[in-house]
Amino acid sequence: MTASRDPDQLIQSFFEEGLDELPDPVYDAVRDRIDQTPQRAEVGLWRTSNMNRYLPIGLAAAAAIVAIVGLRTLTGGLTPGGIPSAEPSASATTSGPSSAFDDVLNGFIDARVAGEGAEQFVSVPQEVPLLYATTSGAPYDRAEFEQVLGIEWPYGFSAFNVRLFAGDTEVEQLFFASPDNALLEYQQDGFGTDIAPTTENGQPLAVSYGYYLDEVTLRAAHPWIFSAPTTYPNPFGRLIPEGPGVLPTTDGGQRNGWDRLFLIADPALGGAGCQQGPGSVDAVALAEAIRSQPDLGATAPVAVSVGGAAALMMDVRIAAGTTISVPADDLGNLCRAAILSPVLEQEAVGSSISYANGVATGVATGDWMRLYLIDVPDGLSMRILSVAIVAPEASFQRVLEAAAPVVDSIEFHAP
Amino acid sequence: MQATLVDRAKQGDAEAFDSLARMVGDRCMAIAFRILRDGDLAEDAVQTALITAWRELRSLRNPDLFEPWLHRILTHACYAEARHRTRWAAGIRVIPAEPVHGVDNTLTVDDRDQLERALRRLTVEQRAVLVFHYYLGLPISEVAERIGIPVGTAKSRLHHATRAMRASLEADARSSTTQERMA
Repeated sequence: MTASRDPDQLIQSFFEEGLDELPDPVYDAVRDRIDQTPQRAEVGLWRTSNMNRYLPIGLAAAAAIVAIVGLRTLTGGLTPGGIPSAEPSASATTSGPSSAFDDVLNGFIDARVAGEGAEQFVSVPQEVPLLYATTSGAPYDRAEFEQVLGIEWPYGFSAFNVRLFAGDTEVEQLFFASPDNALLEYQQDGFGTDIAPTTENGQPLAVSYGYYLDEVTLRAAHPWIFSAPTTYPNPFGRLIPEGPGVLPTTDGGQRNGWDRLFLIADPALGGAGCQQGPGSVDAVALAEAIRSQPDLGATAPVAVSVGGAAALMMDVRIAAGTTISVPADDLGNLCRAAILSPVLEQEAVGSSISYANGVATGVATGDWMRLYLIDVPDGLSMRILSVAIVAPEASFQRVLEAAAPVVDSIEFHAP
Repeated sequence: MQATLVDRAKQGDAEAFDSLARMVGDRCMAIAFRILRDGDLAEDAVQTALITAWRELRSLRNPDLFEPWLHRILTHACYAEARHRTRWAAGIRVIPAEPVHGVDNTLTVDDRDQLERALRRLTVEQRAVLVFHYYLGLPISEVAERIGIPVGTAKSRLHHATRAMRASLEADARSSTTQERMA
């Protein structure tokens, strides 16, 4: 070994060695899996501004041509396809998809009323809430389904509305089916559509989520979509957008303008590196630290209660383009405790973040942020929990109102 | 050709996606193996990535960017494999005595051993940056784009990882020199 050799060349040579052929059985396995795996409709996570100006027109038209083509009532004896489409439509496939899925859907709703065996008809049964009974535990006594038609239902999928009845209670659920897949698919986000995936007597069904090893739980219903406990460093929920300029979609198509709610354990305002433990001793100290920085545009904190714990509520309104810093690790990753990370511009084209000595510096998005700084009960792994609700000024109030039931549902559970 | 297959696959054409997978599979395997240093884990990561790609394909706006997009998915699949499998942590691997395909003949068995050990001490995120930079030959800005991290993060990871790899070679050189002197 000689010191004169180029180490970069050696490293490059080192990487040239090794396996570089994917065995055929892997291709075969992939092929088998994709035959059983429906493609998701396009759902954007990040806010962009390139919404097709004609899309709302198309979507409005789509909403007008939702039609019933199949209906079956167990007790009433109606047959599938017995009710024709309400409106003729070039995109309405009134017989093909319906007949192709009749057996599956009939078997599915029969099994749900019977109280067993429905799992075999669904790709991921554990995702289907109220499979055999209502929230009160009442078993279903009858059921029916209808196909929901619109323009370009998610890319070849057929969508079905399944209705189940238990006395006066009616549960409605949205299922999808692909011609290539004999199983029905249920998605907690309704495949990005504006249709709540499950309603009970017309109200979207709230789903429970547990975070931080279930020390913190919350309940959220459509139009909120929350992350799985382990998907991202900080739990967060996205709110399907609505309001001026954003019309409903029935095709799961392009989504713009998600608003978000984050949970941040033991939040840190400043400092360098990702230390363990709270950056402030309590919510009051953290609120004072936030208020002490004029650039953050923080409002005076107001005492509230969240999950039975004392908390402070305040807004942070940092002007777009303002330079802000958040703690980061030595690899340049933003610390999960960084309370300003939700308003740090990370996604826009051309945005840049610099890292030095455990601090990431960039510019603010201009979104407003409602903070709940909660002094959690003793015995939990964290001392402070922050709930950060983030939205542009124009939709801020709507998002706060939509987030209120989620915040109200937060509970703390000591291990 | 590839873009056409992507378009067809986006419409749910499984045959087209199968053809697409066979076009890009070997390169994915090469990348995954170099990140994970384990053939079985690499196969699992590629399989996961391809299925994820199929499932999420409709979110890909530009068919020409299929492969970079797939590489980002693959990288995250590698992260998941590395974290979920304890087998990787065992870090036991036979170092080939003879170079395999197309190897620079200046790379010795000792070099490989040192580099392998150094690589295994790096995080999987750092290894990914190294692979995209040294194996695929991408500039750091493109590495960042492909992995989906800020350029600053990519630079930081590359700097740290390259320094560690170089240090392993220098340590080996010092060791060899010492042994030569002792002899």
